[in-house]
Amino acid sequence: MKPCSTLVAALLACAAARAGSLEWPQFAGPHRNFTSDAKGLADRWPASGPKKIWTRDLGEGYSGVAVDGAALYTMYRRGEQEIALAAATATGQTIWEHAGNAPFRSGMAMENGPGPHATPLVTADAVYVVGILANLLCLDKNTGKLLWSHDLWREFNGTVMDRGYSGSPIAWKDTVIMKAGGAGHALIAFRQKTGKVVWQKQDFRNSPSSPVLIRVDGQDQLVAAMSDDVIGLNPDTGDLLWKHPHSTSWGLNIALPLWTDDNTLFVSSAYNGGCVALQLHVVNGTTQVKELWSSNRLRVHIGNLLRIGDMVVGSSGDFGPAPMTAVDAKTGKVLWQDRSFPKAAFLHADGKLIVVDEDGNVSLATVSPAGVKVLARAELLHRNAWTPPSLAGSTLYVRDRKSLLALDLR
Amino acid sequence: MRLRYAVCFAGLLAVAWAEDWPQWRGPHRDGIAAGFTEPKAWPEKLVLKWKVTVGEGHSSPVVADGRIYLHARQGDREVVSALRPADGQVVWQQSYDAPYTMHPAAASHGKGVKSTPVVEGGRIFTLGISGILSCFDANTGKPQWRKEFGPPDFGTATSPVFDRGLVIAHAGTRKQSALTAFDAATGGEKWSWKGDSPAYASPIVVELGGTRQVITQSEHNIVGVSAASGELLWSIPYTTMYAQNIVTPALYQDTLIFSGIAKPVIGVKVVKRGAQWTAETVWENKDLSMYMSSPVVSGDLLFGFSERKKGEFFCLNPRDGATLWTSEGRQADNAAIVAAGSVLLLLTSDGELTVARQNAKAFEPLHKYEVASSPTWAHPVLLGHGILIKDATTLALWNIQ
Repeated sequence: MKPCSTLVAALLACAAARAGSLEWPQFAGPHRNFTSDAKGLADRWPASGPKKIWTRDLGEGYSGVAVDGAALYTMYRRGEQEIALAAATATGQTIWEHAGNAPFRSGMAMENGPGPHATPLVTADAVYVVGILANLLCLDKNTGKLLWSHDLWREFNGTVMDRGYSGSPIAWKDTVIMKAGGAGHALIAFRQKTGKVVWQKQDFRNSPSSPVLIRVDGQDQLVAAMSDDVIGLNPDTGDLLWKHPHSTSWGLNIALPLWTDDNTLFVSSAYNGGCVALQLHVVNGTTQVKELWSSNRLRVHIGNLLRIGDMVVGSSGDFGPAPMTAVDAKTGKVLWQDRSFPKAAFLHADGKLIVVDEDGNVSLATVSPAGVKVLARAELLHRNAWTPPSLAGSTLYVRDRKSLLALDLR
Repeated sequence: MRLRYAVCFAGLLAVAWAEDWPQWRGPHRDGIAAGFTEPKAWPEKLVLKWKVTVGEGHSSPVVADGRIYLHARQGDREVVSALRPADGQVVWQQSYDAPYTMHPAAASHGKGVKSTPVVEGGRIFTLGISGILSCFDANTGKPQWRKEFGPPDFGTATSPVFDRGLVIAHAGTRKQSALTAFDAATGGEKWSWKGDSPAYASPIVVELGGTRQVITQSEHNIVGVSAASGELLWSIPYTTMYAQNIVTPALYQDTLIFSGIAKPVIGVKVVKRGAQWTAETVWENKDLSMYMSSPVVSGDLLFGFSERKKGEFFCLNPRDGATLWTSEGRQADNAAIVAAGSVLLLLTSDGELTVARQNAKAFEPLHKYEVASSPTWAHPVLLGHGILIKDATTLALWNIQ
């Protein structure tokens, strides 16, 4: 019976993984790397773009969309308030809203948009949202009722960021882990059920980027790009496993570090940060970090990196032209730069790239070491369309600072 | 123009150069490399002859009397290096304390030297980011004289100009500054004009209306000042956002050309009627705008890099300001432009060197080379069969033949 039960367990695990991976429960998706396991996506769109399932008014903000079955979750700003929203994936209609005051602190510079910036996290029971003032809320998934909250700036004296907090929460076992920054509490793990602090560790200053969980030679690690370093922690304890310098002109590492299955971590930043490829291995319980290459030619600002075969792709540059750039993952050598897209966020699914650029175009493309091929393009959003896309099943969710769209990519 | 005929060095390579490049934007301060002969065939790739670490900054290299000179920052000191063209090795080096803290808004440009030195009459004159103006013996490096001024808010970037025994620089802070002519030999002040604080643009010296004049963008004006006396001849109020007047003036016949961030490109004629000078804007091109890149007038064409559309190369008619062409947008954050023979050398801040035909009808790129892996804001400088590229911290010579 044993082989059979193993097989059943494997099938169940496989089914769970497949089911889970068609959701988009957090920033950057199920694998937190902007890839989706969706299949059967169309290779062409009509000139008007993919079929619109629905569109609805939303409001200010760059917060992305988290999707869990029949509901999606995001945030927007209305006047002095930030609203956490649950809406029906089928219709876009509001299920609940939770409003909280979020007046700008003095010295905040919000001319590029008032936020909120972070994307919600959905777990089995709750939704976790965080606004520009770093107030983490745990809300009941079905009602939006506040279960607990923590103010990472006022309560924990976290690093205040003048353009607003933007790190999206991440779940680990029964905790939710947040970047706060500052002496003794650079990262904090809260018990999901109670909000109780499980651990708070490290002294690094915070930066806008979100944390990611990776598995290095069988060991789970929490990776976070802080103001001037990228670090690896034990997610159970917050203990430091390794760190590697990665700084920018303003302590602003913004993009999500990208972990790929050849044990390579890519960390890219604008403002003179450049990209590093770090090879990580755990040897006798110690993480060894080897810098494979570093390059100034891949400087991701507010978008993201994708790994596609032996290439790493992203928009390189901050407020300039930010051409789409492909580098060799092994060497960092630039394979090509393409000016077809303004600065963009990228999602990889079914062998294709979904590209949302800051001018509001949503495009479908394929890439190879020879270049990019645009399959379809439609201007569906208004600038600045800085919110990364979310894909649940074959439904793509994109937003700008006014509207939220659900598109059928089949 | 001083012509240097083929000089051979014992060693790894022979370098031949036709022309010195002794200051910001070359012998005539106009971005023109007149003596350049295009290779018969542009290579597929450039070959790196040598690369040396010289220090931080976007100060451009200069070439005079068989030497390369570079001003850069190493830690808290500013370093002037004289290098051998054959291999980049140091002939002499001088340095001085220059601790500096960047204005946070300009932090991404780093606290390296921005101003390009000028070499003339066996002396080199340098201006550091904190406003230290120095003179060294170009042959031995022996310090001659030094003056300390403060910097404008975002750091000193203006390059001093040499004219008839005088070194002219607009140095100092927003509160205390002067456009000053110094005796090149002694550093003694010959004249000064204190009508406005410095910007980041570099002055040119030209003859207009029968009068030799220093023309520059100060913090809030475009000014023409007598090169002999420092007397203000004319001025045009000119303010850019965050007070960043940067572009070096260009001259086409008797028309001066100016631009600045979010400003049009303008053509200005300076006229003297009786004792009265007037500066009249004779054309304006609102479709183009220059931020940190200075244009080049080559023949009857003006080539530039507009900040519009996230960076586009352009060509306009300097007679009437009409746009002749623009490239596609999204070319770069910045580009340094040199007109060499019949081509343009366009070095973007992303370390890409594009060779383009000087064409009145369309942007005609011929080749593109990757020449640096860190930011390149300094100008490329031709040296014999090679091209000097200063990136964030190194100086390299690439062979183009």
